[in-house]
Amino acid sequence: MSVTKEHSERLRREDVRQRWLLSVPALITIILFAAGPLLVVLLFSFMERGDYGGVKFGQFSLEGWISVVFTKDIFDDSLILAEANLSIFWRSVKLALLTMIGALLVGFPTAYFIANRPASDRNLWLFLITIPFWTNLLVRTFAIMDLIRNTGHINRTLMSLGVIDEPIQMLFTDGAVLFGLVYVYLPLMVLPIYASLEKLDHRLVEAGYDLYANRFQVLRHVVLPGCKPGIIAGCILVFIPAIGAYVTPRVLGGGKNMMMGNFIEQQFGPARNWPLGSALSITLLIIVMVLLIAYVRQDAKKGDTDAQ
Amino acid sequence: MPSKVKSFNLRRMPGFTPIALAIFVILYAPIVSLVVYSFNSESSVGVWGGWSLRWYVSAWNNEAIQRATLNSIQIAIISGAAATVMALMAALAMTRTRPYRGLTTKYALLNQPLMVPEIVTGVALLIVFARIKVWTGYTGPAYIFLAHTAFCIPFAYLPIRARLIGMDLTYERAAADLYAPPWATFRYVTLPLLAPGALAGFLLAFAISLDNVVISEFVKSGGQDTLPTYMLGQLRRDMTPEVNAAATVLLVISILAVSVFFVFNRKKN
Amino acid sequence: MKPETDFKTPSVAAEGIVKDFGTFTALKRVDLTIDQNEFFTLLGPSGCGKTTLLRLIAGFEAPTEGEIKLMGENIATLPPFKRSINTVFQNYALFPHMTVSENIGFGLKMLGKPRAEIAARVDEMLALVKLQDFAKRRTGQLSGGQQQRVALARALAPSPRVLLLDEPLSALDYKLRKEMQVELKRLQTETGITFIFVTHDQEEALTMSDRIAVMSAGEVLQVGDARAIYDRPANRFVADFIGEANFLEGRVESREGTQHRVALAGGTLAATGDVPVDPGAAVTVMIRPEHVQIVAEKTEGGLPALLERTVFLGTDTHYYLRMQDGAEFIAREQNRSATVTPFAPGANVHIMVDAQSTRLLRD
Repeated sequence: MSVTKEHSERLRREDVRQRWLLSVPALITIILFAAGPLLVVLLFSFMERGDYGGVKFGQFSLEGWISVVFTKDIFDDSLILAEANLSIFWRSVKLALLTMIGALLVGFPTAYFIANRPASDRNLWLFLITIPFWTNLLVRTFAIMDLIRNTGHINRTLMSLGVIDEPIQMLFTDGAVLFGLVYVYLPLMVLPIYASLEKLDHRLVEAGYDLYANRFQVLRHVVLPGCKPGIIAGCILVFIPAIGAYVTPRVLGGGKNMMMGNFIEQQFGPARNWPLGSALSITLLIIVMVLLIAYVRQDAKKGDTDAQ
Repeated sequence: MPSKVKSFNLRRMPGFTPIALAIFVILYAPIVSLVVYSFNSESSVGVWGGWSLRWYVSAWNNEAIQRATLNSIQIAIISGAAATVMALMAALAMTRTRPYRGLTTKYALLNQPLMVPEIVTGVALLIVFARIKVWTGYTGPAYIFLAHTAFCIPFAYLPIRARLIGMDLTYERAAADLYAPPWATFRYVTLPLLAPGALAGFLLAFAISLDNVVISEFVKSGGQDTLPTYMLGQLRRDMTPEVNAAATVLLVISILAVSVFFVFNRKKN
Repeated sequence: MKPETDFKTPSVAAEGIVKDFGTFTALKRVDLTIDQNEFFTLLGPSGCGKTTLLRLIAGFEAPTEGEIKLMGENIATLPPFKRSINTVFQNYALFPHMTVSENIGFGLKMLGKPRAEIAARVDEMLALVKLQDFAKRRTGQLSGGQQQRVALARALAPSPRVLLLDEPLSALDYKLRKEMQVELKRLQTETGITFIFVTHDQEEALTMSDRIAVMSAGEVLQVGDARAIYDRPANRFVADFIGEANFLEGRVESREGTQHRVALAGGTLAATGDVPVDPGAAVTVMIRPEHVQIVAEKTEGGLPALLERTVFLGTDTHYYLRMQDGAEFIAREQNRSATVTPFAPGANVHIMVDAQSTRLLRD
């Protein structure tokens, strides 16, 4: 009897040990070169600022965190709100929200369009939507820059048609950044909405029409509620990378239209304020984590209703 | 048309199709324009002077572009392969099992690079590597390789995990039932069945590594530019069609990798 | 290893097997012996533990307690690849990246047999399951029935001592299932290998098995041949699970050996039980619908009943009756001639059963 018991216990332990061993290389790599360094960032955010970049080790300071929102008055050292910083935060949140809304407005019809293609064609359309997403983000952003710059095709065409006399300044505006963000993150909106639209029972739509609903009413009362989880997922998935964007605002926004990502980079570059940069990084990280937890919760809730 | 009666199309929503089609056009227009103008014989951007390979030749002869391109591809292959092997091992350890202690933590950790904004990972690595560079004096390419491997792991993991989950454990049971010891089961059954997933994982990791600019930018030492960081560095100057040509090459490589990925991923269905 | 000529040793013996999954107990102390060259069936509803028992014998799970013996040797701690037992899986589990031949030869290859021997054995197996023309095909290109045959050939190729079959026919359509039942029985007789067959389908079990073990909720309720299980069920669950049955509640009036007289609502019946039950005890009498005769007149030994509904089904007529105590009762009569006029609903009738066809159950 006890031989059998011991044996089954040993099998279980062996299995667990083997599973741990196999996952070690990946976990170590991520701990050392992705997750672990975040703790160092947290540590640095509480250090005294170094004179030429870096930090003064062992010198604890809240300066980095304070200067996230405050700045010292030049005359009397009193703390006043740092309007420049706040305007960057505001721009980041505003642009991320607008990106989310913009992506939803064009992404929903696109997802609906794909979901209502014949089953054999859907994969091709999905492929067309995802291809740009997996291909070089920088190259795509450059391509947009190329189109909208003052000497770009759009301005040239408009000028040669006589619509305008002088090039419209599109590059280096918030609008350009917004357009670029929607452009690069649109697939993140389309895919989850498509997934829930595809699962939507089409007989519900038929039932809606059968019960005298018109197209708009069917959309409003049947289709939209049916794919609400997909819409929420899409919104969160777009908002997260948008608020942490770095490349798009740098290429399309230029030096003035910074978002948080660029502001952080500046602290490690010309501004040489590593504690502030670290504190900003942690702030961004917390925003993203909170949203991700909301997303996971939403996802779990969706699973619950699926099970019922 | 044999019948004039127009049946009510249940699936149509007014305006949706034009919006969707416009989106597809807008999605591809900048890319197509970039590619087409990389073949322009004129040196001024925006003036079409006929087809030519002139800028490709000149990009190839530009030592900085050439080195950055080769560097990018080398990193993508090595880091992609390393990430795939690690992701494969991790997937074997973390799928098709009853929940065990630490599994959720492992899963969260493995997907961690997906969740953190690149800029944050970038500065974190900058801080840590700057220290290590001072301590060890080593400033070689290992930093970029390791950083890329780390953030490629979750991408390689995705298709491998999907394939494993779709793969019934009874295949391995059947092999064990037919006298195959564990290593033979892995060699003759698990690995061959997993191969398309592993290849898909590698291609995805490859494309992601090739795509990366933020982390490379923070991790690279002098002279270690990848093509994306080189392009970013050229931003201040006037865009030359050479950069367009190099960008097109990068684009074609990624699209190829992703297309092959899709083919392999679809085969499983 | 025991000598081959020892036919007395059970092929497989499960002794005191307990299997827990966390807090759930899948098997509660199961004891079974399966003879050599036997077609043995584990029958029960889903979740009764039959598949778990099969997986323990195959070695995919380790028992929490107890021993599993193969030809007298305890194999409970051996991994599956060291047991001379092969399995035909429910969904066949044919390796999709190998041809039919490679699938069939896989076990022999793993046993390190020479190439020529494997090839010869594969051909032999292909002939046995009549798939010679499909040797080079991928398994995905085969029909369900063909896949089933490949799975059989693959499991039989290494000449195991025991073949385990986990609901292998459930994925096939009705006609194919019938054919495969005959085929399985043929293969078992030809190869002389012990077959342990798991199913929830009573008809399958009755058709093929030498003996059947009826399981429910992790326990073996009865082991016996088809007749024993059907005609002399050990308890109400077995009686109800296999075939249709009527159950009448009553009290033992008198007994003579295992022959009892049972008082029921409206009269008494003679009933046979396995063990003597003392007068006065509450019992259940089980009666199969086809063993009942319906008569219009009150006769000696008949029970009064009200005929509520008559359903004509071509070969049979079904009578839905209500007994005096309100119990429902179903009787089935064969339509022996085209001129038979069935009783009309609303009639007061009497049901007759002979003493050998009634079964006394004690729960």
